[in-house]
Amino acid sequence: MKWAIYDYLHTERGNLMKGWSDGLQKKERAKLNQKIDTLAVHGTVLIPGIVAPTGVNCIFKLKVQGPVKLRPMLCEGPGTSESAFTFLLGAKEVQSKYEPRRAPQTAAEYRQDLINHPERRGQHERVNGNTQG
Amino acid sequence: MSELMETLRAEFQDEEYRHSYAEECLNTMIATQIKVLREQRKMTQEALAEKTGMKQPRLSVMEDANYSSWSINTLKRLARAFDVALAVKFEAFSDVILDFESLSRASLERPSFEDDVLFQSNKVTSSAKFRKHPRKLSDAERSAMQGDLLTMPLLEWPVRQPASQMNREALRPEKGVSPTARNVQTEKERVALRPEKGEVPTTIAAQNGGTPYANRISSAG
Repeated sequence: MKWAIYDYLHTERGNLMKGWSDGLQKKERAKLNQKIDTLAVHGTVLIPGIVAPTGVNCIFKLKVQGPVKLRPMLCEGPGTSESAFTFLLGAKEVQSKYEPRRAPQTAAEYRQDLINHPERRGQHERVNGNTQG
Repeated sequence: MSELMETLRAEFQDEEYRHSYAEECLNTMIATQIKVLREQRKMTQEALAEKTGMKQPRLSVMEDANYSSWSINTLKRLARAFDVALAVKFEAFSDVILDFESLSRASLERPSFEDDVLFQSNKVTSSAKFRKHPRKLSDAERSAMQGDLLTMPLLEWPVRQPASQMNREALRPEKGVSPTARNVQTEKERVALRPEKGEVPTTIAAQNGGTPYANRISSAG
């Protein structure tokens, strides 16, 4: 994989991305994993529309279409490394509104926390593809 | 085996999972190739929209890895605009993943017909090159031609047509028979058809009101 993928580790709630993705349906998990693999193998330059800005500085959303629009929040790096992405929290988009409602702003807070505490991130834990759901 | 393939080996044991994953790969590949082909031709979305008769916002949506409502007709219109052929194939899952992993701008670019090397080289061959170096005749062709031109009496022209037909057959290599051997056989056949002494070729006989090779027919009957 050319790009490193990390998850933000919340001090109290642990890996937020992992906790959120484990609750998804199997089909959604497959699509989400494909998008994350695309990000890891090809980055964002070649593949059009894989990530989109959220309107909050440095915070992007990974776009996964379907009956449920998955929009996990992520950022590049953070830090000097441009060949890394970190997932900050899971989110969905329902009728053009995020769930949780302030997902991009919350993600920006987590990103700042990560800049202050670089140890609060770990290798991305793959979305579980084999469990039923 | 790649890291990704290793991971997917276990996950793909689930049917619903592997089909969902592969569908996403397909969407990603088509959207990316449309964008790559458009950029390769230095076209804007507006220019491509005009060429395909679609609206620019629709093209913008299709150039998104998340677009999934593809139709063969839409893809055909895009293929025509890019002047490339459209190929829709069924693939093994492993091929889909390998293609996906090796995805790059270069792997997705395609030449338009005008730049298609194979057709370019044919154009050159059919013009100047062919005239400069005419095709050399094979032994069989040369022998067949010599048989026709040198051994056939001038008066024999009415039977020219069946002889030529046989020569054409001689030029067509048969399974297990070399063209030369086939030609020997043809030569025998041709000699058998040659008029015997005293026989009158068809047209001359017709001019004289007679039956061609009358003596042979009568002796046969």
